[in-house]
Amino acid sequence: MQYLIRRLLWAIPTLFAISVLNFGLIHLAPGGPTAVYGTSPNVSPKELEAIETRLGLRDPLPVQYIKWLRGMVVGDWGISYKYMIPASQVVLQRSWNTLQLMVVTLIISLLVSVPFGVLSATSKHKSVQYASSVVSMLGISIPTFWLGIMILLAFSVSLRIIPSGGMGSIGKEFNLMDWLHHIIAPAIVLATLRIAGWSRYVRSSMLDVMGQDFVRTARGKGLADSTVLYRHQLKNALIPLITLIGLEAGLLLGGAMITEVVFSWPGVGRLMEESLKGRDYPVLMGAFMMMAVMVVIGNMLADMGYAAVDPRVRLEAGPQGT
Amino acid sequence: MAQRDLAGTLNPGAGATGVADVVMPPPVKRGADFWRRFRYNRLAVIGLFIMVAVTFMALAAPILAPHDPDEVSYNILQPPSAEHLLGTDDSGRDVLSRLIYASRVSLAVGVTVSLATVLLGTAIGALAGAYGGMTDTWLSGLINVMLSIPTIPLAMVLGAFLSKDVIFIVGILFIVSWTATARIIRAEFITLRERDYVLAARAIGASQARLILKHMLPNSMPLIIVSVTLGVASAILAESALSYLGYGIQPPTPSWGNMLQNAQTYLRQAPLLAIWPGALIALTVIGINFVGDGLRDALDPRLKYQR
Repeated sequence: MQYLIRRLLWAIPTLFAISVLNFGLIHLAPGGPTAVYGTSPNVSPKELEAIETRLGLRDPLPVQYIKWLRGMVVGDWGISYKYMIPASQVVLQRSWNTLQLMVVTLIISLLVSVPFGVLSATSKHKSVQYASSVVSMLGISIPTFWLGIMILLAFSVSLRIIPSGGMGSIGKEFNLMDWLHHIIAPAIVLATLRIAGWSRYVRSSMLDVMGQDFVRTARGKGLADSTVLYRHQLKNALIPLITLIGLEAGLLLGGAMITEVVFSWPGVGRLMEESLKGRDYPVLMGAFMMMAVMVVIGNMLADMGYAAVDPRVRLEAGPQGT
Repeated sequence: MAQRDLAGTLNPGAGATGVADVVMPPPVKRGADFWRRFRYNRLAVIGLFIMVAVTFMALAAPILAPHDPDEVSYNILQPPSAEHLLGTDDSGRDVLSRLIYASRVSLAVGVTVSLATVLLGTAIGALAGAYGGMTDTWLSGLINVMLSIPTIPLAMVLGAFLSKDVIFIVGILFIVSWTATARIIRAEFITLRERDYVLAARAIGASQARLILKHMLPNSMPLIIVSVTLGVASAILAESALSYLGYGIQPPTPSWGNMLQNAQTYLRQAPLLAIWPGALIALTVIGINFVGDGLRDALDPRLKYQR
């Protein structure tokens, strides 16, 4: 419990620092919503001033920051310059799309990496180990966006079995098959990197556990190989994976950006890219903050999950133990 | 004791026992020993070959490239021909020449970012790990905050608002990537801090600076060398991603990442345009990663299954 509270408290300065950084960064930016009017003969300086005052752009920076921060906390993120609706609505709706992508990605990653890791740890064949290390090396070395483009090239342009992007067919009601059809390619691309990392991880933690006393004891008392494997080894080997899943969940919510851009998946990452291009600052700041908050929450969940299954962690002091 | 410290310094991979230190072969032989262990790893040798080839391509670019990489023409999106071995891009530039010149940018950015990253990462990680206490709390706090910020989006925003000069791109990638090394080195120093030889040196009154520079740093050299190597790979990947999104290296300067920027638009007409740059990135990064893995195994067998 004490660990939990300490962990929660640690998130506050982190988020604060990120919010200051976020705000500071965006105010380095050139242009802005009224820059286009600056040179326009149809807008008088007076009107410009009125617009800027209404949007709060004439306040001193610290005042703007406090206002913005208060707004962020209570859910008033400003009005999107582009969509003319609250930025929070835009960001939340896009985050929901990213969440779907994240869940499907995590499911695929787990379903593939665990058996793969176990296989390469338990196999006696040198070739299996060799193959698994080459495959995981490929997974971490191929640029994600290029893998996405290659999948589009093979399955969309040449074979025409997947759509070239988006979340659903235009003008159609939502249906599950259509959704799966659209989500599968970006999810596989995102899963590739996790699979490469996680199967290595599962493999090495299986090997670790294999040499430990309780496994020897289990074998010694005559349990079947499969029982030892699943009940004793795998269960313990997967504990560290909980941390990874938490970390990845956060990163995926924030970092699926390039894949979202490649596949035109309307998630929060692509929203950020669009709003940066379109200089839609309220949305940009909201999206950026959303991503950072997700990473922080993911890290926290990972730590807590770890503490829940492994009591030793709770005894460790301080946040730096993470 | 001095004998032992000396041996420990010269020989980071040695066992913890005094005996092993005394009977270790002289440094020259150790190089040969390292090479023998490195060569044993076939993938690492393949990786080294790839690295040498790509480096050669970058250095000899003006000799190797058949055309001026920036020369535009009306022959856009040509398929491969005798004149243009890999065809032309959407501005009629020779793809092969651009690929060759792009290796310069990608490698230079990768190496610079990685060296800078490891320098700062090691300094911060070493301070946090060696001193502990409040120093560690603050530095770790800084690292944790940096790690919570989504890398590519931050780099994008910086790239969009600041200058897009190559030197700025290097700076941006440096800012977003030093934390990884810092974390690894910090963890290493925390372990080293409790090692017998460090405790012994502390007991005879060595200063903190001496402990760090003479005892802990040399012993983490294998890890640092591996970090530099793997850092080059991840910097190349990050640069290509940033350039693909349009916030990295700016055309007409070719980089493998920005060559892919328009390729997706012409996927139907000129699929090869999308294949080559990515394949080269993948090949280079795989080569570097293999070498990194090989170095880790050869420099310090204890690190074998850590990553």
